[in-house]
Amino acid sequence: MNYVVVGSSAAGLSAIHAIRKLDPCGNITVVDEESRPAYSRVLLTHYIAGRVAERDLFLVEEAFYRSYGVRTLLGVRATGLDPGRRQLYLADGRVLDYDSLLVATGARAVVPSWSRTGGVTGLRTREDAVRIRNAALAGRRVVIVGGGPVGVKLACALLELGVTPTLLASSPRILSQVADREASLMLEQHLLRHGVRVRCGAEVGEVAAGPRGTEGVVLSDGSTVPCQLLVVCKGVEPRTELVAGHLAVRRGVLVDNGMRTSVPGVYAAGDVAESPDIWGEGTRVSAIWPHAVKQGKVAGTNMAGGRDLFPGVLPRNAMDVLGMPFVSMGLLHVPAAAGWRSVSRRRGNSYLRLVIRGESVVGAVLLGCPQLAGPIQAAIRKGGRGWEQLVPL
Amino acid sequence: MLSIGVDPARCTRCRRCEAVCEMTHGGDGQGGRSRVRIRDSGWPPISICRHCESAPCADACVSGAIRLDPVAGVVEIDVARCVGCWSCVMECPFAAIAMVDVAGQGARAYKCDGCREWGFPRCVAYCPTGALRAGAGAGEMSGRVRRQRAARVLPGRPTGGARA
Repeated sequence: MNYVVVGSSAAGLSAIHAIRKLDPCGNITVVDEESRPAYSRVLLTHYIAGRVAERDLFLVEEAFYRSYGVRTLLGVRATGLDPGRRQLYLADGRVLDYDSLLVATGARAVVPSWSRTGGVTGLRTREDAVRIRNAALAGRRVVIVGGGPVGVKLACALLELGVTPTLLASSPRILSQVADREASLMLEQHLLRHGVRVRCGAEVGEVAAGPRGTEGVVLSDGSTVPCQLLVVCKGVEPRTELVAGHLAVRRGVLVDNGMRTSVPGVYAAGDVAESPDIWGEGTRVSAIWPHAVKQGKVAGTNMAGGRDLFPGVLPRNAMDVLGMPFVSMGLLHVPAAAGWRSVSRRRGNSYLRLVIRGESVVGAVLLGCPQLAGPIQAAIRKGGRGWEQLVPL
Repeated sequence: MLSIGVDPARCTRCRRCEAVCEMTHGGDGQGGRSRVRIRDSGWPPISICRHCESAPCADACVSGAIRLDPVAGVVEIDVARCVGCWSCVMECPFAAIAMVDVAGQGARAYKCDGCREWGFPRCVAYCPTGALRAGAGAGEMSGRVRRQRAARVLPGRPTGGARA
């Protein structure tokens, strides 16, 4: 068997483990455009904060690939695919034959049109993180564009480093996708108290450049926020360009619960995949670590002839916001329809909200009381009944 | 494999397990170091790590701090690698992972270590009613068999992160 894995991050590595468990002899080739072994993107904000050394960003050492008998083509980009012939084309002209292929190309940072100038970076790669950390250490003023989880984590990291950042969110509140209004406001207050300058409803117009590089950012209301470095954290989008035209793609590469794409012999896992949710109601891209690991494992097992199923996407996030633990999961929006409601309780700095559909819990926001998150997640996965016993409201 | 079983119906809330765990792990007697928790209200009534063979906390760990030791069957936390992101806490259905402050570093994940130095979980040894059990597996498989199985699964040990 020839296995080819495109992308050597969480999903790709997890798949390699799973393949080797079942097939000790098959040829595994891993292709990745980055020339270093895989590193953890999730740790980048922790690296900026100084909690993690640069060498500890790596998920595996070079020896890992050797001991697993994996041929590595690192620093080579996969450019094309012929699912009919089962061939993968590489940028250096090589052609790889495969029996089964895993597309684990991940996601890329969304880059707004105004940001293609100097003094602007995203936060997706190790190089980005090094640049941000160095700028902060050199006393540069940093503005973060994007009030999502990455933007907020970066703001916390910079504060830990002794730099007070400005956080610009285009929505009326921070973390608008992953928190309800109450939690958003509590976290915003918390950030403000620690000195982070938070501005919500701030739409970036353009970058103001002077003779010495970036001098600030001009908002659409005409005001200017001075800064030397602008970090864009506007989320990620699946990298589907390799397979577009060959496989069914919506936002991500569509897969079933066995991580099979629309073409036989081709699997997808991780941030690039769009898979069914746990309720079986639709498909979702959910670029989070636990999904990538689990999907990679399922894909690898099925590629090697085993049988495994991904239980479905359950969107979730956990983070530490300057000492305040925040967790959210599942469906957070309560539509004005029959059967939907939410229950909440607040005691001081501890806030909990559950989203209920019919009799079942389908979503939760937890601020300052993270211990309940695991049991609530287990309840959601088991159909959501019986949540009253978990949570004394 | 080590596996800890819990039977809340047998628990009389004597809290001997908490006291023994606290002492075993160098606590000051206030309970801050106990890795087993008895609750008078709320859920779960008893919190302790089950040392899952397919551990969701390990799959969710972004820094490679949590891993299953395939020989001892113990799910371990390497505090030096932990970044305190709460991901494992979010995943554990048994609410068995807490965070404790590590001097100068902030909160880090903290949970049952299976009393590896003692060879057997002390809380289980001291539980008078059988509410805590070291379940099937502990002692059933010899060390040699475990190592052979481990070698088959893991030819080399990755430093962290993704693992099947």
